[in-house]
Amino acid sequence: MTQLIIITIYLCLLLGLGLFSSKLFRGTSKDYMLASHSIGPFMLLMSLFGTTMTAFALVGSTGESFKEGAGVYGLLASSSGIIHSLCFFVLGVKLWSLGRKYGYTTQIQFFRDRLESDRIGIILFPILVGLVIPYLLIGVMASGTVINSITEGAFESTFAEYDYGIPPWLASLVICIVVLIYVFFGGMRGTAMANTAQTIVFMILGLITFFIISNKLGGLEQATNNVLEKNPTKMKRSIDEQDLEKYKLDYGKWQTVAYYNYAVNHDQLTLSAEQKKQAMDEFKAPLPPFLKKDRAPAAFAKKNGLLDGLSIRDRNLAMLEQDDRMPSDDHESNFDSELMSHEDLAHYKRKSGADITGLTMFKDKIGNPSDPTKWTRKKAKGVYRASKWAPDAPRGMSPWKFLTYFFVPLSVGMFPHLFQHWLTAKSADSFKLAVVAHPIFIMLVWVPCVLLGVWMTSAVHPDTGAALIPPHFPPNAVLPAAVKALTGPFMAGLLSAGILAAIMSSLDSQFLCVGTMFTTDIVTHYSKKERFTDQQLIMIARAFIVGIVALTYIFSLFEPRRVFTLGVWCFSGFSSLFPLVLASLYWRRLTKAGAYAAVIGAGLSWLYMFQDSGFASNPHYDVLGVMPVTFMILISTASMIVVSLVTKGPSEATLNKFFPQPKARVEDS
Amino acid sequence: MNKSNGKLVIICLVILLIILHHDVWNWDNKEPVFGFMPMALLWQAGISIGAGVTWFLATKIAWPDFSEDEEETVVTESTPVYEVAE
Repeated sequence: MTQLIIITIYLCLLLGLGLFSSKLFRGTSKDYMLASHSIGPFMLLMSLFGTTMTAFALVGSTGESFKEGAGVYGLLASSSGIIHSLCFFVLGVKLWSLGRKYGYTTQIQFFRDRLESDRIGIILFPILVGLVIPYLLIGVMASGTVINSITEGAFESTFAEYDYGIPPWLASLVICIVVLIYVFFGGMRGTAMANTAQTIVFMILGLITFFIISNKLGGLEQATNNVLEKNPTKMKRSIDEQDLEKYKLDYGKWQTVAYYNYAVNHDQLTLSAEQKKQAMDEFKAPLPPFLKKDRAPAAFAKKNGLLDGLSIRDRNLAMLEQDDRMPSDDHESNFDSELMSHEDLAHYKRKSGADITGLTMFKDKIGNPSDPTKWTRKKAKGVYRASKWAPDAPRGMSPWKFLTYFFVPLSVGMFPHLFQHWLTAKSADSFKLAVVAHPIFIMLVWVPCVLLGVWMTSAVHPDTGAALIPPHFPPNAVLPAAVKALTGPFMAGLLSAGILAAIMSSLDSQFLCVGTMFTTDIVTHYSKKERFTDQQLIMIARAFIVGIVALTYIFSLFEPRRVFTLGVWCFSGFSSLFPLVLASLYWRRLTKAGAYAAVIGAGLSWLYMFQDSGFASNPHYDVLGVMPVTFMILISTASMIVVSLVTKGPSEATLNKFFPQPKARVEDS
Repeated sequence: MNKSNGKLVIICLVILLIILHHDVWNWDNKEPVFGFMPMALLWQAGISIGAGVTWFLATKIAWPDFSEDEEETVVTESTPVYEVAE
């Protein structure tokens, strides 16, 4: 309950800040959308950083490094340090200058003007809003997971099916409403102020979390030594021999259990009572009874050749059954003649919600987690997954995928909410601090998160010695689970507030941005001049924001995806449009038709690959061994260049407007 | 140092950072540095610091001067051209 009280106080303080900033509101739509270009260097740094570091940076990076190891930092954090600032420097400052000069509020206004095309807005608007939705989804989904995990056991009898904590759907809803309220009251100024405050909160609390947890794990060295001992692959980017040997052994044992269970379930084998007793007596591994129940007779059956009669087809079906995967109607042609590998097995779709069986299996152990002897429903499902499904194969990082991850952070060049933040700057010099400090701030946030994720793969509970986070644990819940297990209720509450601060500091800018785009690029653009007053425009923006947030909220109720995977897909979409913004600023020959080709090429390639990845359900999806974003960028760039070169170039007026010649040169000529 | 030389220095430094980022020589290194820090993480954290230094230099030797640009601009604000074009 302490955690819940602290989170509630934090949310109330945030609302107070929104109300305070509304007192500074000047009542105009320009002030609402761009804070009247009044944001100085410090607030610009904090709001740009707070906006880019979302649930992806805290919840996503910890969960991803739990799954993939220390190399996760190199995938996105260090590359972002180079690329984000590069984008601020090469695009941000120039767009800010053009925005100030020609009065742009949104990207679409700039593109319409630069490309001499009104209709480019019609095609860009749905694409940009469509890509912001998964970005919003990351925050909405993660806030629900964090609050639910941290408040487990807060209620005595209410919300039993959510482990007696706040249900994720309710938590996400409350967060959306809080952010909506302070965005509505304060507009861009309120958002920038809230972002600054929240960025300070999550950076300070993040570092405190890191030191408290490392202390609980026996210190920095001990925490790392546990990983070296149990999961050395997580310390590097190739597969460690020790992990590979362990996995082969575990996978072999798992196959035996799969064959045994299949043979028993399909009446191909029945052990007598005497054989069962002998199996139990011979089985020496110190396992809990629920595991010993099938491990012992499986080992006995294998040792005595009782499983030798199973055909290859039966064995393949046995593995699918044990791993809760659905057999396909059109199996591979060699399904009956060749034993499938673990990789082949992973291609079969897993039954949705299969781990619910864990709730029946362990129903006597499940209860209110305020009683330390009871299990949460999440734990029951986790234990079911860890004990029934095939062990995770150790996974290295492909150098080619690592290299092509570099294209993902290019997305900041096309984030509509960042464009809007860039335009809030008081002067071009306001960007300097953001450009310099951004990589360092990324490091301060990501290094502790990645280390925590790596440590959690091998951490044991300081009191019980049991594994803190079991294998197959949902990656999105690793950070809140670690915080809850290793800190007291007061600190857990504060630290959760810090995580929520990071999430909300992105949601607010995105909410505001979609409203601004709708009013500026659609409503005002297609209505007669002076048709709407400033107040009416603000109301229209708010109504559109509520619609988009409601849509995102509905999506968040479906089966969750890995925050990191969903984030990478969303960023890849924006990155595929990066060539367009770069060319529009630096390539005179870019034409309207070339821009259409780039947008269509980017959109279609993204859609095709996104559906091919099972709508982000496959976290290891690649195209010819590289990140899909590589091909999206290639396709959009190639289409843009080819089409631009074969179509009529922009008019002289546009070229003079966006590529002015220095006076001296004009005079010379 | 004039602006164009400054830009060249920054471009070279960014290329160097991109090359150093692809640290294939650390791929198999699992030994922690300072007793706790995975090499894969420490090296990349160093890249972040390198990026901070590079961008600091960029603000000193390659920062565009917008007040000058605006003075030299020949064309002033005009009606959006697409209204005429379409």
